[in-house]
Amino acid sequence: MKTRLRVLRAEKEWSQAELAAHVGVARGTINAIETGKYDPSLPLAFKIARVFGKTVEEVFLYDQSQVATSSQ
Amino acid sequence: MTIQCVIQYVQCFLLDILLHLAHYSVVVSEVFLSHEPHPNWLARSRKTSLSLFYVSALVCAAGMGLAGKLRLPGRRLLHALAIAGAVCAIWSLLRFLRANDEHEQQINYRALTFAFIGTLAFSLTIGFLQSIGFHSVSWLGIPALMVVLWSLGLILFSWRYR
Repeated sequence: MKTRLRVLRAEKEWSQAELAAHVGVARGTINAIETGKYDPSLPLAFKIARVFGKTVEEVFLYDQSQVATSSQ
Repeated sequence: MTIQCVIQYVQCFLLDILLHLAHYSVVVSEVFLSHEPHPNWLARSRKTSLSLFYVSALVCAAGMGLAGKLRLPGRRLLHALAIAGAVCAIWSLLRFLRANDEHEQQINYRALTFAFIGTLAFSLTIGFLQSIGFHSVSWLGIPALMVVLWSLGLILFSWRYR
């Protein structure tokens, strides 16, 4: 899953640690989400979106082709 | 006149105490009653729990190892120490697992799977080797092996998902 987390974080001038503090997870978790190594759960995705005042779709981009490749 | 001064002084003193109490209660509620636990606190809690787990496991292993070499009074003491170490290790492990967020829980789950499969493979290999004449190995090595494999799994999967 692609994400606009890095861009949104840069707009707010937040570090990964600051965003992690806002949503109550470890800094490494934010890093893993940004690099696409971890897909967050639905509650965490909503939490992150709310912090930026956006909807989930505006923060996380559903990549149909990637899902189709991984399921094959 | 003097009595009025004393009364005013006492009133001011009491008011001062009440204001201090109100201030500290606000600070305490901000620290302890916030909706989200502070990540620094979580990270510190994880590190403390993990360190306590390793120390307790070491105490348990040392207690069990030395108990076999001592006579009765000392042996009982060491057995008690080993049991206390084991209880403390289990408690700190549970505390560590509770302090993890969802991503760290996933890493932990994979590390535990790795440890279980590794221990199973090792036990089966040792069982097979014993059946063809290999000398027996103490059962105390199994929990130690699990802890080593779990730690190795934590390092490996943390690195992989970083």
